[in-house]
Amino acid sequence: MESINAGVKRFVLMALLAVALILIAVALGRARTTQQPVEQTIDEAMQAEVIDSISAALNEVYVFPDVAGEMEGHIRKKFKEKKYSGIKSLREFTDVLTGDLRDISHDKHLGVAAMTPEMLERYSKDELTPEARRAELDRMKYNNYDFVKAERLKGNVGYLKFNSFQEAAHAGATAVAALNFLNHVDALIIDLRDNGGGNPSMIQLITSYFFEESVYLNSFYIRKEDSIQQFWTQEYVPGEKMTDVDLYVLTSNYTFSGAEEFTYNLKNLERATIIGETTGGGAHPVSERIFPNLMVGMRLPFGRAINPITGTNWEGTGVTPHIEVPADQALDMAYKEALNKLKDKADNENQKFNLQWSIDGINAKLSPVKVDADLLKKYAGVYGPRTLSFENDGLYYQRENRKKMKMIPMADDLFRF
Amino acid sequence: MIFSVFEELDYFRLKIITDEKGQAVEVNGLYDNGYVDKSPRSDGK
Repeated sequence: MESINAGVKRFVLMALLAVALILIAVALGRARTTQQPVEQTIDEAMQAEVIDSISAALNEVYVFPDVAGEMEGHIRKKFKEKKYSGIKSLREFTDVLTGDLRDISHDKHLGVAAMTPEMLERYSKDELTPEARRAELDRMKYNNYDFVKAERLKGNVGYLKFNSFQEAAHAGATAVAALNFLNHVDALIIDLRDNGGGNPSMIQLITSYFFEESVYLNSFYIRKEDSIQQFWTQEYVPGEKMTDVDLYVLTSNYTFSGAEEFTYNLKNLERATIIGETTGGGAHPVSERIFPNLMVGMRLPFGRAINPITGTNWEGTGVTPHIEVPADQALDMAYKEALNKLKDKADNENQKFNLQWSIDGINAKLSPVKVDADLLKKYAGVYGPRTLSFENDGLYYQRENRKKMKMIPMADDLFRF
Repeated sequence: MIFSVFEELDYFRLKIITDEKGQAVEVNGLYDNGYVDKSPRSDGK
């Protein structure tokens, strides 16, 4: 059993690393933005040095020691067989190495990257300078900690979209504000389709709103220390909890790492309906290892998630949704599911009417209706202050001098705008 | 970025009322609060 101090120290270290990892992810191919290419040349002697260095790091830290050995054997064999001899660019070499390592491990968190002098300056230090740390926090704040939308949809359904799980110590207030804004909804759709993961503290904070009691969410096994770190929800959250709210989580094949953990936890706790695509499949916490003399950095998985219910995780398999639809249809599908479930539970006619109105609208979008042009032409005419006109591409509606609007069929005799 | 789809005029719809011959005789404006605003055909067709 580790000491409390050791546990706290490691947690703080993980929290700091998480900020750095969001940055290094750009270089290691997970983030969607692109970095200026690094065009450094490499010769065979340097290739050997890179292979020695990353092999040592893998054997020391990589979550599965036997797989680390297999990866080393694989790249050393390729080097011996001169399979890398045609590669003269450091960037190309690190890309090829990443592919070779993943061919053996199937671990999408694992990667090697060529680094610019600026990146080396940034990551080679054990701690960021106060100025660099402040600049980093300013950047996170400017991006609203990746919270992009909190909205109340018709039918009292909430919609929350955020694109990473940032450290709760900084992003917590924004998350709390969003969840308090949505506190009175009857159902909540959480959109993780563009979320690549992040820090466990934010997973804890957000999930805590959905359970009354403290719930065991996940643990991380750390290979080097042979230790396990547990994560539970918090009994207290700022504001009211949302324990009775129906939850829906939207996923895509981009949804990764911490975003997958959030989804996997809620799925196995039977607290949410997952809608969309199977997620990316990365369940290993990572650290970075920099080799400054080689201008190379490495993203090194050092542990693995263990879910207390399944005893395993989503590494390599991803999280399978309850309702599988292409990512771009997931929101419509979740909204429809939420409305139908709320209508089944509604206890007054006014509420039922409102929910049915929205259900009819979403059904019309999911299954577009086409009405014969001859029938539409018959509808054209003047109806008191209202005029319907048939033009090139369909029927249009205008009331007095107001804006003319195209009529979108929901049935042969019913239209929306 | 995957775009939200909830940006439209969703509080109002229009229903066409026809007679037994299929001729449009009235339009009904339907509102999401249950109110119905009827307009009989007035162009003599």
